[in-house]
Amino acid sequence: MTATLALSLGLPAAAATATIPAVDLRAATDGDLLQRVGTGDRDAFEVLYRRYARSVFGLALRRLGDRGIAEDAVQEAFASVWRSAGTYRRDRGPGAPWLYTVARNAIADRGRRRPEPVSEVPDTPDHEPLPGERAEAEWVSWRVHSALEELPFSERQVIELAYWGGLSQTEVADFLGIPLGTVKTRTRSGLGRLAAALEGELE
Amino acid sequence: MTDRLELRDLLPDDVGPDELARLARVHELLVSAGAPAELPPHLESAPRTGRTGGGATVLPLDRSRWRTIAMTAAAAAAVLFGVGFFSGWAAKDTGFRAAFGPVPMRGAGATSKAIAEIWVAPADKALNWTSKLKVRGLPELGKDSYYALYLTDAKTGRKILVCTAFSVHAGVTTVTFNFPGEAKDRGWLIVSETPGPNGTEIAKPVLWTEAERSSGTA
Repeated sequence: MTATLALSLGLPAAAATATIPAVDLRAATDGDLLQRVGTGDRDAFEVLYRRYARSVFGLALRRLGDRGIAEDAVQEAFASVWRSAGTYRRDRGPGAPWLYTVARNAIADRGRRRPEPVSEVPDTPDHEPLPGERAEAEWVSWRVHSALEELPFSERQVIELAYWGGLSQTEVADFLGIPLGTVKTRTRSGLGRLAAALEGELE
Repeated sequence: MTDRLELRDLLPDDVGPDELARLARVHELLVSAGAPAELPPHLESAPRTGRTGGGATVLPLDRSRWRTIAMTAAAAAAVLFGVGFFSGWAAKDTGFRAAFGPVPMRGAGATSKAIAEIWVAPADKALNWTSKLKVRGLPELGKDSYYALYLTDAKTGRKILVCTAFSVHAGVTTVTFNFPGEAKDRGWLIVSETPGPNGTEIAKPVLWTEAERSSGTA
């Protein structure tokens, strides 16, 4: 890959950071982090990146269908977040939807820049989901994967191995070298945290 | 995989009906969301940011996180695990002299009969550890699927970087690879990577070192 990352200026003055109280960044809300990123806080940007990079990459993969282009799109999406975080207004809503919109737009821009393949008239009905359905599915995936990133590693690990690693609970226990009961306890705890984090989606 | 998952099997026996109903909704969301994308190692750190006066700052992609690891002074402290199941590196393996090994790898379930060993040659001045993997018993994968060997942090189990990708054949497959930087407290993990929906990949652990196996306590 030879892609480069372009970051433009326009960030607020660094002095503005003095108005934001010190917090544990790992426990900070998305909104807190975005406000800090808007003032040029590199550490907040790093935390935000770790929280959302996989979700953005997943969204880019679904939209673009090419790993290389999706990787570049992730870089561009976060460049866009860095560039425009100063425009985030907390009173207009939480950070996750704002991030989703910025990332989605950056990914769409990246998709428009690649050459269009020669299209052919399909001879079978299109079974792809409708745009509204696709947007809904993308948003749910975004929220679920973002919430997963917030779990303690030990809980996320057992959930990912069970749901997408193809391992039974016994195999997960063997893989991790821990008792089966511990695997189940961690799964229960992790799912419980996810339920709390995803309350809006569970309605 | 997920369509066969029974939530009840994943949980302790003392989960009551109310909690089960609450967790069932999360379970459905997880199944419908599908596997999260696996970030390639070079994307695990945020892109570098910065600015220069008056215009855009153009920065290269941050695809070399491991280079910072390579700057760390290292002393190989891997544990020797006795005589391996393969014949080691005999005269026919000219040009490769192992500094330590074999480091055994093992699997569970469907891959419990597969075995692998890793041998590591002395590092060069830049802390590149040329290594060899010998593996047998893994199933041959279909089109667009492959095995990936990851270097892991033995304490946390987290993947540090991908060492190599490979396919296997009947008998013993030998793969040469390199890893940079610290060799202490490292483990290895082999995953099978197969295409999933929407351009995603499904990564399933198939073989791991003892260090990796014990990482679940982290």
